[in-house]
Amino acid sequence: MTFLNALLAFGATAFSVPLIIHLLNRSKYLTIDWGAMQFLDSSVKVNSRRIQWKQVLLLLIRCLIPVLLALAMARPLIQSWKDTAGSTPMSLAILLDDSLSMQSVHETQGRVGENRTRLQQAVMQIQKILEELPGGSDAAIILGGKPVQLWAEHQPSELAQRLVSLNDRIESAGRLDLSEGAREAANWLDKSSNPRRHLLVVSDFQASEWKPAVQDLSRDIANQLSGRSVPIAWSFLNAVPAAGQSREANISIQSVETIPSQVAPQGKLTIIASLQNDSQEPIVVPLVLMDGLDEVQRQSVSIAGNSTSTARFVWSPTKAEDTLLKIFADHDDSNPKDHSIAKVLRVREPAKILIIDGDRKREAMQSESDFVRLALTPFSLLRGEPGDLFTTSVVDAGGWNEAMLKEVQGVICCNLADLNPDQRKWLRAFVERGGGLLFSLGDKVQVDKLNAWESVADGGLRIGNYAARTPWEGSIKPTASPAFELSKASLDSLNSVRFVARNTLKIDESSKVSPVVSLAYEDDHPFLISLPIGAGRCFWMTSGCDEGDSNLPSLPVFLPLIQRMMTTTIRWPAGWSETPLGEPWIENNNISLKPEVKKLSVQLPGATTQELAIDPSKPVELGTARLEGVAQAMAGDVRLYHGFSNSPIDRKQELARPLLAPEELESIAKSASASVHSDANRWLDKERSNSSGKELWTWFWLGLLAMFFAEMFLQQSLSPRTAKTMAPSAPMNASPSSKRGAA
Amino acid sequence: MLSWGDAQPFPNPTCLYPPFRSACEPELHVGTLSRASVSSNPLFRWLKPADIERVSALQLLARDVVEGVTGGIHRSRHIGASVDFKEHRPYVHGDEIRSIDWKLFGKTDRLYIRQYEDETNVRGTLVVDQSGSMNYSGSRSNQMTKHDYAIRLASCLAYLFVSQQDSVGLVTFDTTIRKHIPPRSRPNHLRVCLETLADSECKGETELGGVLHQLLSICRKRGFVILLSDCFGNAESLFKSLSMLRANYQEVLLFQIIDDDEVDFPFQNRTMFRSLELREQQMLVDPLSLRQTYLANFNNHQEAIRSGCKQNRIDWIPVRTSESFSSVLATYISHRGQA
Repeated sequence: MTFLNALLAFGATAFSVPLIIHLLNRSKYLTIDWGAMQFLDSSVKVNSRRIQWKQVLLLLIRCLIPVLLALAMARPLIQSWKDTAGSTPMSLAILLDDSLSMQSVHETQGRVGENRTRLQQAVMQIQKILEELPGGSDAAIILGGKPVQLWAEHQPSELAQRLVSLNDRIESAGRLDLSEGAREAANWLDKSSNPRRHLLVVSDFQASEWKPAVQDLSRDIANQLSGRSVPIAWSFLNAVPAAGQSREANISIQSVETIPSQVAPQGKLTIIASLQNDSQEPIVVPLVLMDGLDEVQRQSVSIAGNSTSTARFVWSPTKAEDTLLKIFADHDDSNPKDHSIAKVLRVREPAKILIIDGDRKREAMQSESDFVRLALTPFSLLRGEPGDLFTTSVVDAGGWNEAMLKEVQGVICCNLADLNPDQRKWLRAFVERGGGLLFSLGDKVQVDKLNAWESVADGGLRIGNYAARTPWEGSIKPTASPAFELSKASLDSLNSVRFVARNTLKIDESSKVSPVVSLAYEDDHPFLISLPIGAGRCFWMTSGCDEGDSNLPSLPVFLPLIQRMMTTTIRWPAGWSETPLGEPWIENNNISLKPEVKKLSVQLPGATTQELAIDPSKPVELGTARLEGVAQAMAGDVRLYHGFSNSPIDRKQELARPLLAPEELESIAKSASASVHSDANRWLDKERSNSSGKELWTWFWLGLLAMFFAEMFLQQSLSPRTAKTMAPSAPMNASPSSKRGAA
Repeated sequence: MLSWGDAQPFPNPTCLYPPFRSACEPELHVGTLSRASVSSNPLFRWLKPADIERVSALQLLARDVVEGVTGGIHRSRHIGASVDFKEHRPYVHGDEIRSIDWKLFGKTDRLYIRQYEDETNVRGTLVVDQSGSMNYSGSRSNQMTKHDYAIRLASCLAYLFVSQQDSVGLVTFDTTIRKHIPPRSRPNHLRVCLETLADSECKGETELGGVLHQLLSICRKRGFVILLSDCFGNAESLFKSLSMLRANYQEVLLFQIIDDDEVDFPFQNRTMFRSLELREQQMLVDPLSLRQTYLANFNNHQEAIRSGCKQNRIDWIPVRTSESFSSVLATYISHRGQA
């Protein structure tokens, strides 16, 4: 037996109150000098035992009254009570899986052509359950796709109406988050007023979702549910119709990638889509690339049975804006939601980079700036084509001024001997405004002078002398805190870099600003240090980028390394503008938005448009979505898009077709002490025949009432009766006639 | 029938009370009370003027004719020296010669004797219970114990007797007779009785039956025995002795003095009842639980007394200490007068 208000049960200790009163009263008594002892004497002999019984009974009843009152208010609950009527109200939390796999279509048996998705099937079952719940019940729906969402309404009927909206929903949520969903459900159930509490998990029981470690998970959840003060029963309802036919054929787009990841207008972009054929038969699918609402390209992809194939689209964006790309297979199969994928590509104008070369040589491809320029603008330099992410201009050490800095987004200083005070001031102010700076050291650097620059000194850097490296062989490697990621090919290439000479860089641990070592030599000396200054960021490279210092410029890693360094330091937006489901959309608006924009109207997937006031000087959070899709934000002619999607791993698992076999599901349920039901009626029958708890408070109130009456009756029987009190006096007022008789 | 009032005027009761005494000094009949002794006179402790006034207006008439020595208003079956002629009777040997009616002898030549109706006075013995149980006073008895009540009642009765020229005696008792004052009719005797009553105190057990048995040897002549007691004790032995008294030509009046508390047992809270008679006897009980049995016991006892009295032709006057004793007396005597 448990209590819904366990604290009040301690009120039962109040039974001691009448006991104490009784004991106190026992010690108090009147003393009377009495004459008629003879009548009293015999009364005591006759009465004492019977009366004592009554007294003890009265005391017992008086003790029971506070006990029953406390117990009734504590709302006791008997777990093992079987309630055949099934009319006890219950609190039902329904954990509904609304992940991508629930969008699979099944043909209803006997009704060819009437197709339902698993989600629609589940909604139908849940509606049936909500209709049949006993009066006074309450229910909540927890949408279990990541991130979990709770729908709690006052009436189950209102909840059923709200459920209808799920039937028309195009978007799907993330993967089923069983543990979070169960926690949410348990929290809601804990607040409910009904003693019967039940968690119903409605899912398609996709093998990839449930199999890995789900047994442990469900066992943990089972323990968590049964460990509550009022234990929560739980059961599984299979949303896949037992008799319905699933279409075997299914094409799904598993992932879409672009090469390169970032692009400028006119830049050539290769989009690679990976397709999966789940049927046994080979299939030819028309694959369409759409830019917004316009079809850009269409190609036929042939995929063998049960295999994966890739399709490539080469495409160039024309404008510098957020571009909505959609790739879909024009094919009708069991899950139409899984063979289209929408992505947002962020296309921006090329960034302007100023290269200041302290050791510029006349011959071509001799100066360090030549190599850097080549790395930043390969298309225009080598092929004469547009599409580079950067445009560059090269100046000598003294050939630049403050006005030039206002025009550019990034500056690269190559082998600069020193900066004059003005230049130091200008450059520092530029970085503090948010500009990017790459400082490449070399043999011309006057170490002492540069160390005196406040950006170096305050940043906790100590530049050492330029010296040959012994042994000169060796490689560089990323550290535990890289400022940017490199592809595996680039990392392999990094290992083959041979450094001839370098400056040493030391980090002063006591400085307030802590520089981050992104790449280091194999002897743990820093190669690349990232140092934040104001709103911007500065990269320090201990080695130059010309062939005199190392063979780095001749290696494949050089181009992506320099480009990545510059995109990172000037905060060039990522190619895909997207975040995983449930994560917030943060817009770094000093890049994406004009400074005068103060207000944005934001529309998130599955939500209505919202007006959002923003501060243009700071990154702004525009909201989060739990459904896959594209969000958009508008302010005048500025239009931003942002995608919310499953992570590639989640999507891959979601697209896996196999479901749990019935016996596997049974065994999971058994280990989690839950029951499995194939449809709503079975579940309702089971619930009707077996209720998990019966509240006993009505009985305790009745008992309390009975005790009150018993107490009154006993009290009455022990107290003097006025009518009888007068009776003995009758013979005292004897009438004259009786006197006469006596005479 | 001659009334007692006609034969001798009843003294003005107000004269007994100090403020009026000088005014009615010549008529003072209970004149044995000196001025100096008024304040200490026990009579005034027990008798209030209002009580005396009410009681003195009544006559106590014995139902049966009691033999008496001195003249009084009570008729006697005995024929004796008196003024009221009754009948003539032929002379027989042994009659007093002076009682022969010589005038009739002259007319008839036969010897006849004149017979007169004799007048007697009454011998009343007040038997007052002074056992411990008489010391009880309940909440409704105006702070008056049963003994106080009995003394007041006895005082009234004694006064009544004396004022009727009847003789009155006093017996106080607990287990045995404590004091015995033989009946006298002199007014001074009233003072003696009242002083004895006033000086007494209640203690010890009751043994009514035994005491009444002893009374047999004291009350040899006919008269009233007026018993003032709560009659707690064995009813059987009481009536055994009372029937013997009755057989001894004593008219018995039983004033049963009871407190209201003893009748209805109104106690509610836990109470320690300590016996008034035996100090060591006490019991801590819950009165509510005992009440019914107590009342049944009490009523049985009362019923036994009532039926015993009826059987022995004893006047049973149950009195509660909450009632006015003078009105009780007045009511009783007026009924008795009618009878």
